[in-house]
Amino acid sequence: MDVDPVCGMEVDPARAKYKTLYGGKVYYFCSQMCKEEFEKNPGFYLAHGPRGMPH
Amino acid sequence: MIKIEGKQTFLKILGMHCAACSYTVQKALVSVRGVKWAEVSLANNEAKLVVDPSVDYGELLKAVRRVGYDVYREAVYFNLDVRPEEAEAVVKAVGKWGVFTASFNPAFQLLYVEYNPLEVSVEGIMERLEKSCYKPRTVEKSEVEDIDKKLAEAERRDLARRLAVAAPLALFLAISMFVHIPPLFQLAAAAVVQFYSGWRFMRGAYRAFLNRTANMDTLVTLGTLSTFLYSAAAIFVGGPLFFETSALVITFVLAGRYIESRVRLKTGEAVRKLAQMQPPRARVRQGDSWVETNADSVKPGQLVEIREGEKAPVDGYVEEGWGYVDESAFTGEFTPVEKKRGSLVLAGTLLTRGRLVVRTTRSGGHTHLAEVVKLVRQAQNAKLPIQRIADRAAGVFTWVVIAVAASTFAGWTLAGSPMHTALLFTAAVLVVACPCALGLATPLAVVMGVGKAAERGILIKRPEALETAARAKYVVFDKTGTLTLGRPKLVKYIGRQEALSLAASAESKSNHPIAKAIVEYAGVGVEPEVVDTLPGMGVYARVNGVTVGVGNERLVEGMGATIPEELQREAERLREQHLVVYIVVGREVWGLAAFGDEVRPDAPETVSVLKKWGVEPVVLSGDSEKTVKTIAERLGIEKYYAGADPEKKAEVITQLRKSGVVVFVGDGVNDAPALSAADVGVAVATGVEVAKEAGDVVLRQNDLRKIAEVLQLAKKVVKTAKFNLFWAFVYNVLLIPLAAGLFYPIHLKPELAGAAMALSSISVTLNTLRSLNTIHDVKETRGVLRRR
Repeated sequence: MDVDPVCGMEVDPARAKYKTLYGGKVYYFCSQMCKEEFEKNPGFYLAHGPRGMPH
Repeated sequence: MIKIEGKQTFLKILGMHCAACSYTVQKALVSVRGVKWAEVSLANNEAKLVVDPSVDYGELLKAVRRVGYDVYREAVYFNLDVRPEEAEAVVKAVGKWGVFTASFNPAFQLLYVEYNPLEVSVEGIMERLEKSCYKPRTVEKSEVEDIDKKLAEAERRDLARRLAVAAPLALFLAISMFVHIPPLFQLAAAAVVQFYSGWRFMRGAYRAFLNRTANMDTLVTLGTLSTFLYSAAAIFVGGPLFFETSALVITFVLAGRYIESRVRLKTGEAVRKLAQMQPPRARVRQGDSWVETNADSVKPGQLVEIREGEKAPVDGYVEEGWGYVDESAFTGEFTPVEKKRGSLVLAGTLLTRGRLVVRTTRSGGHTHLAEVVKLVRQAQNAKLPIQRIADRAAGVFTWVVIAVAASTFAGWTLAGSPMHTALLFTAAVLVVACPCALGLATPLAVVMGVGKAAERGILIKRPEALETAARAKYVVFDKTGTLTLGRPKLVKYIGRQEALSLAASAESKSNHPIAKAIVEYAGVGVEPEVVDTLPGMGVYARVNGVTVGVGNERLVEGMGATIPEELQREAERLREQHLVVYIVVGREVWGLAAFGDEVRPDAPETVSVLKKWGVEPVVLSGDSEKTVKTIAERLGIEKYYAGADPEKKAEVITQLRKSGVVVFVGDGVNDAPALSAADVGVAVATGVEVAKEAGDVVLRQNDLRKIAEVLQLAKKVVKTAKFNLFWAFVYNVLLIPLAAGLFYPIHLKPELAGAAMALSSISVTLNTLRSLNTIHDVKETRGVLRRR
């Protein structure tokens, strides 16, 4: 299991629909919203850890 | 209320679903000449018309079909024993009222009628035929497949019997020229030949007489009966005897017909073979066991077993099992196709390996094969437009010959010859004349050509189009996709070689076209540890502990890599015509691969064959200028049009038609307007619903070489038909005056005239058989091109 770097939910990489590549690593998300939020500012989430669901 | 004079009729209209539809149909119907009033009801799909009794039902059908709907009609086959030159008279006898189409195929002696069941019945049509003294016999639909064979066999037996009597007696009479045989013996022998063996001709002549027409049989009867009666009279009043003349003529003509009936059967062989591909028996699952039953009675949904080496008896989808199937019956392509669960199997295809259990979808007369056979049969009934002139000529021909015979008799009598000399010249004229080549010229060529084509995966739906196709000036391809494989291929790679095999590993699990192209180029790599597909970016994988990314710029960015400047420059250049993909290993871009749509392997060959034949290939595509130009240039096609939507396509075709005949090759679904705008529409259809495809010709296999084959076939059919007509003309023009004694002392004895006539009609049949038996692969032409 992987962790959604934005909201902190557990995501199954094998079934995840929302994912992106950053810095040579694949990140998985629970939703499109989390994914967009991450892509806006990946460095922030990677440095500070999950912040809960974006609004 | 306004009263409209005329006859009322009803048509069932198919395909209407809205009020606008019914209005369109109504407008189309009213536009037909002879229609005084029409009302189309959507509720019962019926058109009510008030028409002139002479209205052409064929035109009504055409009008409805032109606006995209159809008229319900039923079809029936009749078997009629008539000479080819009577074809037009037979069709006329069927009449117009309630009949959409009627066509008589002299090669099979089959009359095909499509009629409006709301107006006439099979019995009604039979009555009309009987009124004209034809003896029709309805032919069951299932019988149609091999009816021509049965008929030909029956005919052959009859001819053989009559010939067996005529030949020895004629020989016996021929001896009388050298040895004295008592006149009464001669009379007896000749009478048997005349009235038993010659009965066929007399019967035919009588029927023609009742119809107030004349045919071959009239001529033979007049010629032989006159010499026979003269000789009979001469026994009593004195004068030379010519019993051998009539007996020999009858023998020769019978022998000619016998040979002709054998050869003619061969012309229809292709379709018969096709029809016979569907096995009559099927093994159906009943409970736990397999039971053998009649293949026609298999119901949709039932499971049917096919073992190795057997042909599928029904259409259906594979439920269990696996195997390879030879579908050459449909496609002309002999490479077996793999079948597994869910694959479609068609009746008549051969299971070369494995075992299949198929869930039936269609059986009997509803299978795809049955549909194809029906289509081909109908097409074989068509006549080339040039035949119309020949038919008209054949109709009056016999009268002309009778007139020439009469003047021959008068001429020689006036010149002071004895009556028997004048009579012999007259008989020679009557017997030498051969209208049958006129009547058979194109029907035989069409039957043979359409059948041969079907064998090779080419369905000719409208054989009339062949005459046009033979004069083709342009072959227009509907899109670049027709000329290309329609899937990307790796055309250029720049970078480190090991990156390619890593990329192949990363892509080995994917079905994406790009992934397949990479694997095709680099081979299957090692099993990746992790693979992930990132939509809109590419693929990410870990192979042997290294991270590998294959994708676009966004992927490169995501991998945290940057594209080296020189690769970036290359990419920009390549992007003009190709799709560019980067390979990132770790955090570095290791390589760049460019993909392009590849030209089909058969395309260059087809283009050069067409050019060699003086036909200009044209690309008419909806793709961008850049793509179309690349493909056109690569193939050496000078004329191309890009960015064309369906309407623009039709417009371009209309323009091209001003300078020559246009053959359009399209997929039939998207290109209906262009297909109908062209002189000849060729639809490439790999689907199952062939009959519904638009286009005059349907190709069952996506092989461009078939297009060249269609043109080749068209040319051959037209050439054969024209040669037959030419031969018939020259033969008659040369031999009739000779027989009349115009070049006396060179002249033709009646018995030799009979032999010449028999040979003439055999030679027409043989010529057709010979020239159309040699429809070959354009592949063979490739050899020629290579040698150059």
